[in-house]
Amino acid sequence: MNKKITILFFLIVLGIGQLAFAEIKFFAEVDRTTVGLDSAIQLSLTVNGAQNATPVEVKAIDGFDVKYVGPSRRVSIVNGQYSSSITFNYALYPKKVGVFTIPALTADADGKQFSSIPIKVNVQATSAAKPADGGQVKNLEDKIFLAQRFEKNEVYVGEKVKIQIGLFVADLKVGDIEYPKLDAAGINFEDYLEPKQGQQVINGVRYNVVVFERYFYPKKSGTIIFKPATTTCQILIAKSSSNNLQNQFGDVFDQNFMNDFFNLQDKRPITLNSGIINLTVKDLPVQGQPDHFSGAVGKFDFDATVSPTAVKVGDPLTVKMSVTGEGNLRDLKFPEINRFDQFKDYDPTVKIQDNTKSLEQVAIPKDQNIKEFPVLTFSYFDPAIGQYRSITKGPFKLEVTPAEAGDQLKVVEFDKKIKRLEPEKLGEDILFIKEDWGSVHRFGDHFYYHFGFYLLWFLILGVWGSAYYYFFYNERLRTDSKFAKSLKAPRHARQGFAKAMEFLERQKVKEFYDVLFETVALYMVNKFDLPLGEIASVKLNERFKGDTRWQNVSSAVASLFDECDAVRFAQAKIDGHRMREAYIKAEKIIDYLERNY
Amino acid sequence: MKRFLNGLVFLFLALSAARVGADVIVDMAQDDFKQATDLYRQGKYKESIDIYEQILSRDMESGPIHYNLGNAYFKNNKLGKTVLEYERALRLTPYDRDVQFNLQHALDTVKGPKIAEKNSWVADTVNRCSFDGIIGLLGWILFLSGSLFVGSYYMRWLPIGRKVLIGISVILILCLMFGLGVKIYLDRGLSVIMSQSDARFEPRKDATTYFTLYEGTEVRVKEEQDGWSKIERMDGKSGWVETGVLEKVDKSKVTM
Repeated sequence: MNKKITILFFLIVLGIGQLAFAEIKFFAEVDRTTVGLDSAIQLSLTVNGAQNATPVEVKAIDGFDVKYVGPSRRVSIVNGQYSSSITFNYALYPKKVGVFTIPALTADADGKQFSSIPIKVNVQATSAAKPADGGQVKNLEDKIFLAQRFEKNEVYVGEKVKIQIGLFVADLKVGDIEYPKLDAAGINFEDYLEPKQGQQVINGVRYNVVVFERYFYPKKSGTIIFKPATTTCQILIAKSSSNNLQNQFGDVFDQNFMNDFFNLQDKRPITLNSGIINLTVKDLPVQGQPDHFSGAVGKFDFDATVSPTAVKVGDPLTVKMSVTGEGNLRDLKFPEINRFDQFKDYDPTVKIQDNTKSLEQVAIPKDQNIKEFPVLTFSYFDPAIGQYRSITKGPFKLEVTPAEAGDQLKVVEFDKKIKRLEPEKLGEDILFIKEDWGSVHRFGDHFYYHFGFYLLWFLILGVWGSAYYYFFYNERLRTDSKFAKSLKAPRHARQGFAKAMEFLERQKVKEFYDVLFETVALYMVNKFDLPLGEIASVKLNERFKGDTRWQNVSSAVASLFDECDAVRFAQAKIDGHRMREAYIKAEKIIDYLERNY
Repeated sequence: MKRFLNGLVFLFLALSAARVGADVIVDMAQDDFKQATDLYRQGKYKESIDIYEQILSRDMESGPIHYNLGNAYFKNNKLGKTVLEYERALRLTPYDRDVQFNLQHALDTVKGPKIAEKNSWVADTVNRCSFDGIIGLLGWILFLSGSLFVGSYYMRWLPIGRKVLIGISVILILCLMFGLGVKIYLDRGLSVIMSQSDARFEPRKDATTYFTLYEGTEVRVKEEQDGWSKIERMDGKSGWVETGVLEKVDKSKVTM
């Protein structure tokens, strides 16, 4: 009698379970309805009680950037009632201040359509925990923007000008900032200087500012248009503390495991553009331009030396010149000494270090009558006063003495007066024998007849092959996450089985089944690169539909998962013998999958 | 196990004995080389020839042994043997200027019309290399190309760089293989006339004489037939001579 009552009880329980299973619900929820521009909200779209639910797609929502995070699955058995749900999670990043509505979203489950209720979200300038400095910030563009400007808006051709590009950020954390890209024709740019950081208050809002600076030189006159400077960076979004996904799996998997799967550190990439700015470039004045002006623009000092001062004809003199100051050092030219006919000159050596450009050139006096090295004049245009300036060095007194006999330079040519010599009569015979018998080897012996030669090539080919394989193996490990995960799947499984065996020996039933489930689930996640949400026998059967290899193992997987769920969620009573069977079954499943996939 | 160990010991002793034996032979040959050189210095060319030949008969050779023997034959007025030994020395040490000089001098003293071998620059270049040298160079290029090719992946070369490397390597390897072919062609059948002989139109003693070959003249053997060899003189003229009057430079195919 008692036995009949028990069976009836279970039938009733199962019947209620089936009823509960058939009831499908779809709803949308957010983790909060008020959010700051510097934060994000989590939108969860949950389908409850469905056997099959296609992922809910959210394309665009007014006032937000939408990013799909991933699915999560929940299975629960409460008082014998079995229920399952799948949640599709999205991160919504607010773009501007205001009240926005997440519209009614639709989901397909078990062939039917379901709609959610619209949700209103209030977007504020900043999170409640971090009030702004009193300024009015309406949208994200007010919180982070790029601006560029010149030191001067009107310059001369060749003048050294600084451009500053500022990245303004208020109440946001920003990382991975790239140097801005500039776009302007007719400009010679120098490299960027070290970026500077500071703060600035604009319209009552305090901004952190990163200033990028670089010098440039306009090459032509007229209006030069600087197109918008662009840069990219990552906004670090503060994530909601009430992470449903984490709570769902927190009991089973540790924190690191969850971090690996869902990348809790959230970054929002953003591209910023500045405005357009114009630069007026004037030609250098013609009036007052010195004869030997060679295009130097800026503020400079000039120095020159000639040494030694006492030389013989034909001996070298070293002429050293240096220009120090602010301006287009790279383009300026030194006074030329090849116009001095009394000296023979050689190619100069020119160097630029910091703010000094220097030249070293050898000049050889041709004549003993030379008394001085001529004046050297350097001219430049000073844009600060709008005038040309010239600096003169020299003349340099020289004492040139005649060259000694034999040291004088002569033109060498054939002297026709010298008689040609009679052809020399040389003896003819063979050269003498060799004392050293050289490299002796056996007759017909060659290195390529030796076994060692081929062994060496075999080894070389082996090393090449190994190095080639090793490189591509590592490349694949680095670039193909699916491959890398599938490699580590059996290793993790072995570790899981060792842990499960420990619990089996200590008869810790719940822990044993937790680890066993985790081991098989993780193995499948790694082996087949599946999302964790798909690790359920129904989902797996759907995924491997038509795959005969999977059909051989599907029932074993389903029964193992059912047994695990029964123990983990329904506290079913299991003896040691059954645990060992489950352990062996799990081992066989993984062994089968390893051999067949 | 004991038998195995005994076998190992025997093998070790046998190898050691063979090694010691080889060293003894080499030492003896070196002593002979010094003795032959002393005899040459004393003007005893005939005696020095006997000793140099004795060293060669032990299956040992080097450029200087052939060179010194060639010198001794020259001093002994054996021009055919002189040219032959210099050619053999040149195959082992193609860069040796002494050998080149003495060979040229010996060829200059050969009787008859002065016939210069008309070689292209390719043949001249190949003649400056030994057969082993070309194979060695080929091996090095293969080794460097292969190592660079594998290393290029680690050095993150662009694919174009790898293509250029392969292109250069293939060109170099093809050039060397072509050079090897030319070398084989040039060395094949090179022979020296040992005594004055007539080259005839047919391989018969009573056939018409085409031209006369003098001792020391270099020819290439094109064909052999019943004690007769069809030769080609360096100016391209061909005729039949009795095989006994010539000796091939390639020692392994010497027909005596």
